[in-house]
Amino acid sequence: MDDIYIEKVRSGDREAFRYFLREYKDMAFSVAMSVVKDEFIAQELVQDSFVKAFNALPSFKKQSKFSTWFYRIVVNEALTRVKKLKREILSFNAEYDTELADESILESLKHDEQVHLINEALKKLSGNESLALRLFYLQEESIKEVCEITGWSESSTKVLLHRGRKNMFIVLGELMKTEFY
Amino acid sequence: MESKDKFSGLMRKGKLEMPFTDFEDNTMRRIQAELKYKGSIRRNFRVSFIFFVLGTAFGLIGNSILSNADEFIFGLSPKTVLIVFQLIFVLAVVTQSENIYRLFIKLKSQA
Repeated sequence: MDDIYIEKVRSGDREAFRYFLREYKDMAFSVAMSVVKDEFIAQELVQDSFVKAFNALPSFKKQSKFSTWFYRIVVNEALTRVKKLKREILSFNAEYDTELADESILESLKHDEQVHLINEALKKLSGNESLALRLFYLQEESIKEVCEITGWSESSTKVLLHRGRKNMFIVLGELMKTEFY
Repeated sequence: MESKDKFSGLMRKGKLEMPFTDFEDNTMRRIQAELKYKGSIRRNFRVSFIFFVLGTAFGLIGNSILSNADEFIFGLSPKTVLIVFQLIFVLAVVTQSENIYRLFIKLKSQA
């Protein structure tokens, strides 16, 4: 489907680009939020990424999926933005004696509460961990694709995923303690 | 394995939705505006280049006319007029070349 719309845009049908906006805006926003942790900055940089993608579409060689290519633009934009703002994004340091979240308690929560907790926990994780988790689990990209999007090596991606999973449970545990007890 | 699937299921609930409802329209408007801007830079570059070439040609013609002149112009000797003309001509060519080069760089960066 992407290919059809790529050709449409390339042949001058600008409105066809709306398809990509509709299709990828949410995931691009999730990816951007993983890194910048701020809704407004994330929205801005996702818009910049779409404009860049539109301008670069004629030179897109289809060596990878459109989504991989586009998320790479989003990740690069996000990292550049973070550097520019020189913001210190709080990264979570795990203390290994901290209690892990009890999955059964987490599952017993209402759907909205779960969504809220997961997103809060992802905000607290470091940009890289949160990005790795989102791309791998949410977008269901393979490790190879995560590496292609982020530019990380396979081993660092695996380490980030492992650490991210562990830290995610620790943060969830802490959040559940503060929010529900 | 089951725990991994559970985690996967849990993570899927963390998908965020773009909270700004006008995002699509705003982005399309920005794309249109940028295309318009790019078009105007291209037009400006073309017009500037044409005028630069024309100006340079007229300058060269003026230069050759003045170098062949042997009558006083506004009470000044033809040599003095030629030197002043050449100075202005070179200055104009250098500054305009720089402007055109800047416009060209702008055009390239927008492409």
